[in-house]
Amino acid sequence: MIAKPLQVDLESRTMGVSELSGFPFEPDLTTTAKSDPGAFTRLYFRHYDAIFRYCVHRLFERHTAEDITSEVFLSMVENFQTFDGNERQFRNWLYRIATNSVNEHLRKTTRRSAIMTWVRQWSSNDKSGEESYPDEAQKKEAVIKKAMLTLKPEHQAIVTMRFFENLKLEEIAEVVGTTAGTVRSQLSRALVKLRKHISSVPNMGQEVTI
Amino acid sequence: MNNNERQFEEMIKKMTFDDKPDYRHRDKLHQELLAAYAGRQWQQERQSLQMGIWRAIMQSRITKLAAVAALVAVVVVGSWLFTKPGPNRQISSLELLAKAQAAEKALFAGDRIAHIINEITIYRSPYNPKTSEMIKNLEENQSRANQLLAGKLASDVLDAGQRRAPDYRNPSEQRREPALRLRSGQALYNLRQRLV
Repeated sequence: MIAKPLQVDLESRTMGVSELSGFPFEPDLTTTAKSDPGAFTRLYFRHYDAIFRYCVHRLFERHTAEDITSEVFLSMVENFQTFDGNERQFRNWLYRIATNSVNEHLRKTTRRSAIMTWVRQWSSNDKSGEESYPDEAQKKEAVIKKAMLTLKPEHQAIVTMRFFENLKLEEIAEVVGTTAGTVRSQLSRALVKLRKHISSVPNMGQEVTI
Repeated sequence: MNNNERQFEEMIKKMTFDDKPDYRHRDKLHQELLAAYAGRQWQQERQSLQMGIWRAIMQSRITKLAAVAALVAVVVVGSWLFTKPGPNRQISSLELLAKAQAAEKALFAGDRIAHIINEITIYRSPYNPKTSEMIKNLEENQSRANQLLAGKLASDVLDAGQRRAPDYRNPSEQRREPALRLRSGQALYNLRQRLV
């Protein structure tokens, strides 16, 4: 069963730390949160949505994304006392934990192949003219999701952070622990691969040209 | 942003995702995090306390020496407690009596002489500092001791019939000064009553 999709405005996925999740920005929140549970709670609420969305955009499956989000925050609590930095660095740190957790998950489990099989079935059902997914837009989405999942986890992380989470190249570089130039070249390589995959799907090559 | 990137971004914009957070999950996770947070804080406090003690010890030569002396004392006392021979636990007066009976029975079990024990000799144990107190307790409760002895003798005779009886030959024990002799005249009287 497919959950009812929600139209999400990309602009609402803004990543400026000053306006996260409707909780007002507080300077030194990361410092006070080390000793004050109230501050810790506010810090958590400010970042939960972003991390959850990132996991969903990486995995395309909300239940697994919830599990990974839990893993990320529990791991954060374990190492929070050793963290030393401002809130922007804290957010990047969370993204780094999430990226590692998702990559590990993708490597470990067969979820990836299961999703791909599911997407393949979905595409073939659509081609045969059955009414299960009549929407052409949904078909395109399935193709893009499938193409995303064929990328290497590291490239997938960069594409997700760049296009779904709207992070700057410098911020992505900080998350993945490399330079902005490397991120840019990896991103362009990933986009070439994506274009190749999407073009190989019948009736998609003409419509999706990237 | 190059053309490829712009086109891909446009494509992403048109996509729909079920990416709205479930606030039940968020709140449940919040509770788990608070529990983990409290646990970590407690651990942190304990660690800092340990570190504080360690720093206090290491602050001057005197405290270092004092800590070493305390450590040596603990090791010496501990090793003395654990390596000293004999039983460490305290035993009651009646247990002492039962042990004496059992020991006597075991010593003389090899002889084929019918003999009824009517006297139990108890020696001071060098391993049990409370022996004197226990002996005093037995002396004060002679009748209870006699009752026990009579009961024991009666059951031995009635159950075992002509079983191998003990002897009093034990040179190693005789060299020691007896601390108490329980003369069980009363016990024999009781036994006789039961047998008749």
